Amino acid sequence: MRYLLGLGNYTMGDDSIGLRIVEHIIQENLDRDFRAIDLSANAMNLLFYCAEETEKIVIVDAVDMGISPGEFRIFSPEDVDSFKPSTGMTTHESDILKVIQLGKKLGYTIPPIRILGIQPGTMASVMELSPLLQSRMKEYISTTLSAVIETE
Amino acid sequence: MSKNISINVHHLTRVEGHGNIIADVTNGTIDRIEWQVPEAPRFFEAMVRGRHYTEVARITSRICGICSVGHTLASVQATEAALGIEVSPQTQKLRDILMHAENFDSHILHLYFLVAPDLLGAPSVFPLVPTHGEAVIRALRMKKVGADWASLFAGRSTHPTRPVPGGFSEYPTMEELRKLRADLQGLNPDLEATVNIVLSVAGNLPAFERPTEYMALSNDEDYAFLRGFVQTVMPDGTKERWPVSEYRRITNEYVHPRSTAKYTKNKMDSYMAGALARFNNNYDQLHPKAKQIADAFGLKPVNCNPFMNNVAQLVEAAHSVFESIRLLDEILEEGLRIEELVQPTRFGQGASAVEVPRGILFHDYTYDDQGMCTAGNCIIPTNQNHANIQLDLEKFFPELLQAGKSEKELELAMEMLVRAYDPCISCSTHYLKVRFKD
Repeated sequence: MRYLLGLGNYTMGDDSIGLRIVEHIIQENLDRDFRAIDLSANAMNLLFYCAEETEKIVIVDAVDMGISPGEFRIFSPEDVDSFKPSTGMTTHESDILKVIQLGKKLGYTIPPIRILGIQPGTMASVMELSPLLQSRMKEYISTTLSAVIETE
Repeated sequence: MSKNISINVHHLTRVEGHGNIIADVTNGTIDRIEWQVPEAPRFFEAMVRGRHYTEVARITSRICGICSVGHTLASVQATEAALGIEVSPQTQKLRDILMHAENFDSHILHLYFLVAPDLLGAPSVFPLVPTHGEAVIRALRMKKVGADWASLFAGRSTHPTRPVPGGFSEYPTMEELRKLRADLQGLNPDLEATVNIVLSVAGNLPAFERPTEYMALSNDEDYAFLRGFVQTVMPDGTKERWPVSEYRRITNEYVHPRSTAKYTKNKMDSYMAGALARFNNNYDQLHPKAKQIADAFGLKPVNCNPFMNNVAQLVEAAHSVFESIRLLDEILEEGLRIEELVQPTRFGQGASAVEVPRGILFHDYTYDDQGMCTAGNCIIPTNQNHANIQLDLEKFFPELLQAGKSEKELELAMEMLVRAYDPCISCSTHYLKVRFKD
């Protein structure tokens, strides 16, 4: 089984991009050959999908990579260092890279993981995406689907 | 005793959201001891205005990623109160089981990932992996059951889609219910191991007490999560009840300069909400096996030690499992009917109170005759606890100073006090911040 996991906060502007992509894919029934799941803030639940029978996991999330807002990158956890100031292992912190690290230490089978990171524009208490990210939704969705389908 | 102390815990770790602890002592005199909440307001009440009643719960469930089930159910029930909808006993039963799932999941997360590091002398769960890896795996195994349990009734583990005004939009199958019952029964060894590990470190919980008023939902039928009156119990055991519709005059929200979140109070200068408040109010309705766990810790109502909120959470986690098994047995015997959604009989104003993991939660909406929301009000449990945390610190800190604690010990003890409340200050942004390797 392949999984697409969306992370973020729906009420904090572009932080919700991953959730909105997953929501769209579920609503349009585009998740026929894989399971699309809204993890919201519960990054630790990623480990529920780390099993031998899991073929691949794609995570879609807002990621500050120091590039222009709206731009995106696809990368593996091994490609990056997290430098988010962390106040500990909480659902609030929600650092998926730390969760993967915890899973490895606990002996979980970590399948191939690809992260589609989208550089956010607006991070504020609003229920909508910024116009910039909204205008590129189609592109993000097709890139997400390609990332899930692509063979590792 | 140190004569000059300056403690500034900026963004306290292992709580959900941002809060600061500030303590200043000059020449042995306490200048300042404060629990500060600097987070920005999030204006959910404004977001629901102009939305149809069928949409409101979907929006307010986003208030919290941990308590999204509780917010959904509080929202749905408030809407039903405003629309004159009375749901069936089966709907109530299914919602009870769903609420128990979130309560269990949240308490296990708090006890293992946020509290255990303090009791085992570690800064986070990571250093515990080599020494307590089995316990961490157990916690994740229990959380997985909690997530599956919620998904069955909610449609997914967070931000439910199935509970809607008037009932449920979709139902689990009898086979899924039988499997859930088996999964819950299978939690017994993990629950037992959890009790044992908490018992082994319970001596590290400070023996601090402050007479406190405890507020919780209460009724005469069950250990209330979804239905009943608002009740408080005073330190001497005196209880008083009010209808939920009177929630504003019981919570008495007010603003204080040290916090962007509103404070609340009732009969005393503050009150406590949460697992210990429920335990103190509703002990008699606990499942007998949960009472046995409370007995093992010597926990009896009315307990005025806020650190025992952690133990009350453990007691409740067990209660949620055993009570859900009992409810599932009833449903499996009666059979599950697919029911039509109950339709509105009027449009107006209505309020509800729901016990979410961190305490009593109020939602209140007004709808026009087209079913569009014209006003909303939410009072979340963590906000109701802020004033109580402050007053606890004001009593606890001088006691610690008197006991000659070092600055490091003072800091840890105050952090543990705040964490015991399991505060969920807000769900902020969750984005990653990365640097690509060369």
